[in-house]
Amino acid sequence: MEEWVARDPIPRLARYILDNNIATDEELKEIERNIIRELEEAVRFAEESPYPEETSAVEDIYTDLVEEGRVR
Amino acid sequence: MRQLTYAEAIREAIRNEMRRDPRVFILGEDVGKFGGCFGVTKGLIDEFGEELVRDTPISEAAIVGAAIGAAATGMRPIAEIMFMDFVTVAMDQLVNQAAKMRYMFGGKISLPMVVRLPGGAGVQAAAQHSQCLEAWLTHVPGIKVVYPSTPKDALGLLISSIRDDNPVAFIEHKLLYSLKGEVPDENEPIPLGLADVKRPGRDVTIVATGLMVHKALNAAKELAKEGIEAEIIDPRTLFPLDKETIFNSIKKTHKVVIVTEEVKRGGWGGELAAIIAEEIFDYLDAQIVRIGSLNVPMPFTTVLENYVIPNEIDIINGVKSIL
Repeated sequence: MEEWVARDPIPRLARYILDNNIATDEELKEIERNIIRELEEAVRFAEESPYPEETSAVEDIYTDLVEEGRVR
Repeated sequence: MRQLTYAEAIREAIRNEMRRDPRVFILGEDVGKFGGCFGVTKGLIDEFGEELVRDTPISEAAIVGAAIGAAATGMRPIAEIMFMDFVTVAMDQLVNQAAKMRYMFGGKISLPMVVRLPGGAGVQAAAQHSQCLEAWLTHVPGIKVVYPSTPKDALGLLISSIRDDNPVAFIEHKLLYSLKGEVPDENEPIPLGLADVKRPGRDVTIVATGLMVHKALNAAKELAKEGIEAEIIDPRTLFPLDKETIFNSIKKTHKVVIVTEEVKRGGWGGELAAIIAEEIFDYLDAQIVRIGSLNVPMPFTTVLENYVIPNEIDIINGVKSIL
């Protein structure tokens, strides 16, 4: 497990980027902050959105057909 | 009217759509220089080059997966699976990816792609190269399933399939490739979801698909000698299904025989029988008859193939059993 943790490609890529002066440490941290912000916004959007209409379950399967719904 | 074989009609549909739309391209095993296992794509590489006629490694999952990626990013791929049987290896891509992607993205993406699937028995290709697996495909919401029986239908339906914005499984019967038939001078698309009355009749409705359409036509000729007029309906598209044309015929004849080459158990024919029983039961004057292949793997030798696959006698007997 330890061996594979050391091979984790994400920290390895970060190390490679820093070692080769492709980006600065501050730039990488900025990228990470932006990702976290985007995720938080997505979660907030999901929590604040109403549940979908039931009929939407039979839509968006095909571009030009709607599947049969249920009558209750 | 001019004559083309079923294979030539498919090639013409591909060629004309590639000329018409630079986003259309083909990929598959040996579809390039070799021209495809059944020669369907012969010569296309000379006109369109290796970029648009792509030979792939022997990996059906990669072929369908690449087609999905291409379709998602704006191309209109036509993937060939050498034998329909090998769609098994690509089922994750087709069923879990292609069929689901639009739904999972809330309708924000479309996958205009065609997967060509040569199916069917009768060429001594044995159990792993002869299957009719249409029921597996019609079972999956998100895929359209097309199955032409004549050169004219193959041409018109493939044009529509290529222009369709959804994943389309296009089933071709191997024994039909050499069949010649009339096709219109101008290439006209035939809409998906439109059945065709291959023979009018008043006494019994026969719904048949693929090669079975031709066996049903032969059987109808024999039945006519005894004064029995069978109406033959070819759905042409298994999903979406033109229920109206099938129902109108049954409302006239009050009897229906369903003939498919697939193994009878769990087949598309059973689904159609259920739809008829559920929706127009009152119009039936007899039980629904299903004729399919025996519930066995397709054997190799002709003697056994002929025993397993439905033929004209089975269809005649099926009709007579409800008259």
